[in-house]
Amino acid sequence: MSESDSDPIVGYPELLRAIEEARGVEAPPPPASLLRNLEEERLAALRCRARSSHFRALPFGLGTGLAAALAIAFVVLSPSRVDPGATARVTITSPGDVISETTPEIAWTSKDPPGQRYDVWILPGEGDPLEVASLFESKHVVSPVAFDSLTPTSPTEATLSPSRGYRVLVCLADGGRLAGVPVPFRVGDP
Amino acid sequence: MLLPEPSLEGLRSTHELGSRDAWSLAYPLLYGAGRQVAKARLAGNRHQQDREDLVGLALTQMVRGIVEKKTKSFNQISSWDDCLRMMRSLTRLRVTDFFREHYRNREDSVAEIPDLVPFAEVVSWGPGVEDIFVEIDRLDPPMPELFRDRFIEGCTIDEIAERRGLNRNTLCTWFANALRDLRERLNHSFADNL
Repeated sequence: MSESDSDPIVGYPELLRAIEEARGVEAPPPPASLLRNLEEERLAALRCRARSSHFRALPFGLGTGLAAALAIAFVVLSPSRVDPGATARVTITSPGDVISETTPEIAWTSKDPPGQRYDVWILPGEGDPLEVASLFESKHVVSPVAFDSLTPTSPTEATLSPSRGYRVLVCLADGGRLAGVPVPFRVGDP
Repeated sequence: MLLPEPSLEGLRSTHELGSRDAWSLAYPLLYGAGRQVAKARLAGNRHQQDREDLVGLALTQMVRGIVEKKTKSFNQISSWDDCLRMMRSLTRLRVTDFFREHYRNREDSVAEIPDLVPFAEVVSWGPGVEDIFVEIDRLDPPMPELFRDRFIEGCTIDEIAERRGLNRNTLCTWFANALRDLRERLNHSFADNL
């Protein structure tokens, strides 16, 4: 099948197919722009799958499943309550955002029914999010969650550290970490 | 150079790191498979960007389909070879779309995901077919080079004729004879392997 009808291969579809499927034909690496697009697609597909598996796995209605996904997608970090007069809010709008607070309040929006409880984890920037030990966590909470109400898992770390990467994960209470997609963020330099 | 193959479990994993590692292995292999189909079916230097776009589109569908696991076609993939087969099928469909859009009407353009058709059901030669370029290399000169011009470089017959300084009709005759010869060799090879 070529643009020209007189290409002789047109009469040999089985040979065309065999040539197409021959192994060992070297190809250049995919262009960087294509790889970026594919990674965006992959992450979007993972989020979509997490939403659908979350919906299937939990005994809640469609609205609740969707709301939990929104909770994960729109995690918001605001400045700590250390400064109650602060009006500026630091918002993670895309993975990888940098915040300045080492004790941020964690808040999220959702359309879940009132009273819905959530589990929140602060995870290291690297490692399998399902397996890696959390740094801070809080169970059965509602938004917002003050940083000092999170339980540190290490006695030596009471706050986030500057110049380090973290991930925050919010899931419906008792749904486990599989129900959400961790959102990476970074605490900026002091 | 043979690249390592990703595991299907990794490609379907919901673990971000496992998924990322598996797909980083899969991207170049699937891209190569799609490119091979696109060059064979949509020859010509002027279609270079079209081929890249079509392969990119097929690859995007692969990523979505395998990770999301929503459709039967993708769920019945059970091996890495199935992944390659699906990538080729998707690329063929996208090339067919291209032809329909550009050379016929747009209404019969297809966007559906193909069902997996095992290669053995399409080509009756079975063992040895993966070595088709070994058979091509056994053809009389300059046919091996001309086959590479056409199917590896993705040149049209006209472009090969110009590049090699050959008459177009002569080139068509050579290809027709070589293809007939190749088919006979593969038929014999298959019969010998029965």
